[in-house]
Amino acid sequence: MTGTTEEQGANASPVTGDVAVRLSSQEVERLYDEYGQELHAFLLGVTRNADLAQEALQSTFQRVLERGHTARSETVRGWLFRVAFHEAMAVRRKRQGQHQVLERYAGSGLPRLVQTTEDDLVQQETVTRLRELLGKLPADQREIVERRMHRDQTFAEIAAELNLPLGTVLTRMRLATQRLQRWLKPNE
Amino acid sequence: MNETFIVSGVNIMDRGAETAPHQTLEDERRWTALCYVLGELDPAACAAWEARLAEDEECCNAVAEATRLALTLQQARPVAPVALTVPAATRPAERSVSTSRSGAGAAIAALLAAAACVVVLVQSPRPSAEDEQNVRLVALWRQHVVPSVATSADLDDDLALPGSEDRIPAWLLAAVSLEERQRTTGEAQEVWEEN
Repeated sequence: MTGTTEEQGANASPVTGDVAVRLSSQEVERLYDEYGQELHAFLLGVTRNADLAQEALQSTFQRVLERGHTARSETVRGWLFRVAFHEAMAVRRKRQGQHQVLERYAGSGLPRLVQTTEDDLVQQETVTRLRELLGKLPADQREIVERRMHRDQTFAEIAAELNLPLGTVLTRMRLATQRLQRWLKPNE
Repeated sequence: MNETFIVSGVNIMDRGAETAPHQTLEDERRWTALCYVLGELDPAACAAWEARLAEDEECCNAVAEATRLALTLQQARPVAPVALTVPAATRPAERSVSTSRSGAGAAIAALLAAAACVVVLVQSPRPSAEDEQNVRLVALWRQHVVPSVATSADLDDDLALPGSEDRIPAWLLAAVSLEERQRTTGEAQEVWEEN
């Protein structure tokens, strides 16, 4: 990242705030522990491809090693997102140049977040909880979620099959996902 | 969020027949992010959203959250299959199909029988024109050139004899003499007929 207001000419560390040269491996590791999962989820969303997301994540932390010391400590998260986005665009362009087709998200080759065993347990609990919450949705909303997320139908296909206006399908999906997100994060 | 984000020609912020409650900026960001992650945005809307991602941390955060939600939802597939609504427009047609089940059964049986015939025809060897020509040549060879075809075992036996490379096998002599006799007889017959 160059030429933005995020950078400091004094090269302050995002971790310690001290004037520094390059980040130490411990500092990079701490950034990875803190933001790695979030960045990986973001990169999966942008690339819709597990391999590309992993490649972009590695490139992002390569940039952190090279230039992480130039980011302001209070805005390091935003800096990481921007670097990750540019890396995602770069790997996507490279891959498109090689005529490789991106997987669709909802396909059978579903990308997964990189997780530890502990994360897996948390994720399993979340999945169980979400399955329960799905059962509490109004039937018409649950059906849209089921068709879109489990049957890989597009909103347009769902609307056509159910003889509903596309706007209605979108509204039901939107209401359903809002409910699910609020139930999953009751403190928000 | 001033941009309009489009899914299949419909602005995803428009309210459908069922009204949505008051939407906050955060709600709209999350919804657009989910549509983006699911690949539902039109190309122009996708490009506009990605332009925001390049500079807006909250939009990036919304994409990360939407990705987690999408992944978790896909893993949260119900154990028991969900009964899906049958579209109203297709119900009469389905009823008419179910009332004429015997007719449909007969039609299916006829289709199966036809399919079986096709399979038999496809699997049975059908000689091509080239095959037929080859068969004819072999027959002619057997009839006119080699009166009795020697087996490979016979040939091996002959070739295995000491000095066999200098000795003409009996079967070959017989064959040649027979062929010669047939040819001579044929020529004599032709001469006789010409005279």
